Amino acid sequence: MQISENKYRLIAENTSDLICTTTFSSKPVYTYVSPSYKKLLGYEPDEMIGKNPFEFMHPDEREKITLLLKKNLRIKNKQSLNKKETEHFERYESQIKSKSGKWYYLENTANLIGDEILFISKDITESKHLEEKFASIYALTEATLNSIENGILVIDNKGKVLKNNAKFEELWHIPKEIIEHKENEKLIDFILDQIINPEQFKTKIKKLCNNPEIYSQDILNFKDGRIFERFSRPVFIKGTPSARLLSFRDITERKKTEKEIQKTQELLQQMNEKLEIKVKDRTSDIEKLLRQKDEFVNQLGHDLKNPLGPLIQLLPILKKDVPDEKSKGIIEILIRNVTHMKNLVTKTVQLAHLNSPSTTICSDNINLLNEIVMALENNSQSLIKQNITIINNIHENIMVKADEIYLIELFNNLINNAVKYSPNGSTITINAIDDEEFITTSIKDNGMGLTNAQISHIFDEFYKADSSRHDFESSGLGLPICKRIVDKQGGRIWAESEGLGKGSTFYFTLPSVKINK
Amino acid sequence: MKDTSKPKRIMMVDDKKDQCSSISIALNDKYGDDYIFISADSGKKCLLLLKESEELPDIIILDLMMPEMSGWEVFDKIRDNPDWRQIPIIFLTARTDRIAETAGEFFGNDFLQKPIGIEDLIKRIDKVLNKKK
Repeated sequence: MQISENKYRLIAENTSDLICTTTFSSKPVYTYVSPSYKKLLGYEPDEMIGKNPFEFMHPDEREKITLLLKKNLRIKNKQSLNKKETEHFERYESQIKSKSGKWYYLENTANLIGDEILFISKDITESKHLEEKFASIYALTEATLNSIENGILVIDNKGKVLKNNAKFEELWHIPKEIIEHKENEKLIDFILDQIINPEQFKTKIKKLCNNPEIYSQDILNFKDGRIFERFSRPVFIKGTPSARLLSFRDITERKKTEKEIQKTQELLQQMNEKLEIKVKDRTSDIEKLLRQKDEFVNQLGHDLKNPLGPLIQLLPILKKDVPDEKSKGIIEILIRNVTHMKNLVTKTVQLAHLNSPSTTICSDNINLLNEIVMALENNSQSLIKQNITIINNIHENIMVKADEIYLIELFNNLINNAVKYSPNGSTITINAIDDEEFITTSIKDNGMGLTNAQISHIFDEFYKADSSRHDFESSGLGLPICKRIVDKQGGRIWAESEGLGKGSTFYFTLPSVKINK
Repeated sequence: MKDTSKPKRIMMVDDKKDQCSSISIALNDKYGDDYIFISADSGKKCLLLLKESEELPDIIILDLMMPEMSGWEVFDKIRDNPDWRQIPIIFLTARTDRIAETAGEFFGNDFLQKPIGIEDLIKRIDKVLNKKK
């Protein structure tokens, strides 16, 4: 007995378990506490011995534990009376307050020994906290898993199902009992039965199980027409790919939309192509018509010129030969009209010719001053008649790239215009500026000037700035011809005027010739 | 400038008869006997006249656009004949034709745009004939 008591004492003194005895009465007190109590809770033995254990207990637990103890120990008491044996009853948990006021979780067993109760308790505070932490993580995971739109299935590396979310069951129409009974084989069969190519899927999953670190993704086609997208990634536990997460998403609608979009795009492209062909056809039609128009104008002009010849040649003779003034006056009117007609026909043909894409234009090195002088000579009669002074500032060395015949025509038209609209005794100033790439030539008169509205139209065919003037001098085609000529030679033509009565200046540019010698 | 000793012989080849007649009248009206005007209303007629005439024209005014034998063909025939080769030719065209202009410069001696003014015609003729001298 002595030896055995010593043995038990030694055990009690050295174990990390908490061992204590209390009296078995309505107001129990501690009769023994092991040294491990001090280690854990900080109380000296005499701070506990003689005290009521309920003082150290959590107030919420007192009643529950009292009832538990009473019930169990009473039964045990009866049993032990019969069997004379000590038997401990079910484990229970309780909380105990340390000296510093902190609560510890204990897992306890109680035994009735004689008239005392022996409690053996274990500190489970840490595991209790872990459990709480785990519970909260678990709850969070569950909530997350069940709120996402993807069906999630977690399997271990042997293909056994570890976890799935509700969406997974919903997507795969999995019967409740298969999930509840964790029937792995049935679940797999159920899944395989739904997809079009089960063997392929099986092989893939097998391959994934054999290569736990792989990330993969593919498309599953269902017998019922649905399409799932599958993602798969390893689940690492302490750095090892210990499980695999499969994520399924129903993309049937998306695929359908994609197909529709593609169809629409194809349709649009077809329409576009058709439209392009149509536009091309129309463009070529228009080009053909334009060519026909130019050809027609050219032909008409040509045909009109021939009968004009005799009129122009013979009317002056007739005028001279008729004796009376009245007839002379009539013939004078005829001559004026025939001359105008001749001008119109000549210019129209010229314009049609310039419009034609087949008209080629030379690009010779031309001395600008020579051409100006020639054009001035051509207009010398009207210059003298109107007593107009020419100030020609063009430098004799300026060379341009141009077609000589058209360049003279251009100058003729511009000088003719300047003279026509200049008052008697006024001045026409001609200048040329070399800005490296282009030569800008300007012809400035002190004539009737132009409004802004007129400036924007003077290069249009048959436009006359002064529409009330149906003078026979003007065909309304001179400036359009000038524009075509300048355009064809890669230049630009424009007019400036400060307003009516303030004169006008006409500018045009032509590519300059650089003499590199 | 005028060569008073001998009137100039001008041959005009144009299928438009009125053209020829009016030029003839205008020429006679303005310059009287200074010029002798011969007209041919086709290429064939022109060649025939050249072949048969005792005296060749001093200058030929040749319309390029004619039916059957075009002005170009007539031009080639004239230039191929060693007797006629020296006769200066002025092309006549109603078209604003770059080729005619160029051809006038290089092969013939000048070119004229229809409708022709009589003073202009004579100016050109004198220019060509003077150059020839």
